[in-house]
Amino acid sequence: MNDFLCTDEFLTKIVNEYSDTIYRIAFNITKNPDDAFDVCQDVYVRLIKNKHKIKNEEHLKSWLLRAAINCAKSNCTQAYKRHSVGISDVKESDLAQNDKHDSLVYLLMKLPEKYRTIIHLFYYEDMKIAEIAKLLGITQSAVKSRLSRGREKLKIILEKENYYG
Amino acid sequence: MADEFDSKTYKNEYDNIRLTQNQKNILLTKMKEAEINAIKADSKSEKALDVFYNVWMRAVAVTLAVALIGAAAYFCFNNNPNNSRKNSFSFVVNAAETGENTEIGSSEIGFSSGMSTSGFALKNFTDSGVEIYLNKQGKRDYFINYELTNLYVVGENIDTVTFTANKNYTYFVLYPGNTNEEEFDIPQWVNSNFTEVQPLSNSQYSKEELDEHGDGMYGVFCDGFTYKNKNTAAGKQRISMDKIAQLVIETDRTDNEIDKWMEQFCKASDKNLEYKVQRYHETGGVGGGEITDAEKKNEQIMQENLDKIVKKTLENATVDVTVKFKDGTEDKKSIMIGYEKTEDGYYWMTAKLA
Repeated sequence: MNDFLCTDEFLTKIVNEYSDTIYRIAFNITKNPDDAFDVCQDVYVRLIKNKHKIKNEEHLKSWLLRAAINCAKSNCTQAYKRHSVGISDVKESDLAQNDKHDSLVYLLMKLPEKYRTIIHLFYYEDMKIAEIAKLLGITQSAVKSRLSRGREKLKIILEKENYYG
Repeated sequence: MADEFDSKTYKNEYDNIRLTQNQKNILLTKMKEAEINAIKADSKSEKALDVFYNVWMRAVAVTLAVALIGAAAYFCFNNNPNNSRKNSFSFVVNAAETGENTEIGSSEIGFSSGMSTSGFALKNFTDSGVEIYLNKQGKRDYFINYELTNLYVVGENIDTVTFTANKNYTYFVLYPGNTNEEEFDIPQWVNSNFTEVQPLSNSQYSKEELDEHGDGMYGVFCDGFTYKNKNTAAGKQRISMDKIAQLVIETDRTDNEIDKWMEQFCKASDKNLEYKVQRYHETGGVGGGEITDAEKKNEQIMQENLDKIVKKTLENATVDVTVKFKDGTEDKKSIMIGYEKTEDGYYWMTAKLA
């Protein structure tokens, strides 16, 4: 696996196969397309540095997802990021009138990160509860609880935003 | 379970969120560059890639943080005659951008505070989506955090290092961000180097409130923490403290003076949010358009008021630093944390022996 990790073929393959996955989970956490792209770059540079740790293809995807979540969270905790206006802040001001932000994806952004990440992994990446628990380093009951609570909170948001019409 | 969530719509919408081919090409280029640098580094030193990476990361930080890295400091204190000769510890703060250590005398210890305008407010996610979470007085608080930028604890035979903040409204947030490459592939908020996290009592908020309303992304808040040195190599060791722990300054809204400054800060901040939203509509994107003079003026007002808040909050604030050596002996000193204006007109966090 490690020999293959050095080839151009491999680099092209992981960009083509995984970059959108990384970008989506990063966008889910950062709520900002530019930041999400920064995270992608960070993740791939880290991969090159840590390639000796990759055991197989399955481990590669798992590693990339975990790295994306870690990097995206780090990105959000950078102080200067907190001072900027995010998508949800603009919406929050009740001044934005853009149909794009009435989509389910954008309404989901109103949830705290700990709920929306799990919802994304469960519903978009089709990961199992046990897999999410392992990936995030939390218990399966915590995953179930956040999934359930996240859906409840999202339901309230969708109703208030008149999502169902 | 899936019946309660419109996963099909969600998937369809999220499928449209993807990188452009140009962005993918950029990623490919970045990786190849990293690969080439890794090969070069291997021929010199296995540590060289870290240097490349750190330089790259610092370059990004410098671009974004704009002149926020300050003085470098060095101080060595281990004057306990009872300790064995090999037991020692000191603090080193690198001059971040030059990579050189700068000694500024024995009476000072450096925390170099980069982010003088950083901060966040807690948010309420339960009532109507997202709102600012208000404190017991029904007011908005603000949290400013300072990186222990490039702070290293250096010494021999160090087993643990304990930091404890001793004043109300000053405490730590732990960022187990796994900047340590060896621990990078463990989950973000689990860092086995923290052997003890002291309960939070310096905040006007409970741990539960901070956990719930901090969006789960601000790490672990605590009055202090113990960091375990797992490096068992002989000789001098260096424990990097940067980015794993930051000092948090919380606004005290029961203090009339701070309350007044915070009101002025909020007013300017709200006004700037309006300007940003206006630019959002005009340009069709967040962050679009040029920052106006009015916004710059508001930024200045925010900064001036924050400086006053932090300066007052840090009056008589101390942090205890205790190093426990592997033979069981300890050395402890207190650091006075301050906030002073430098020659260039900016406020920086300072630290001196108490």
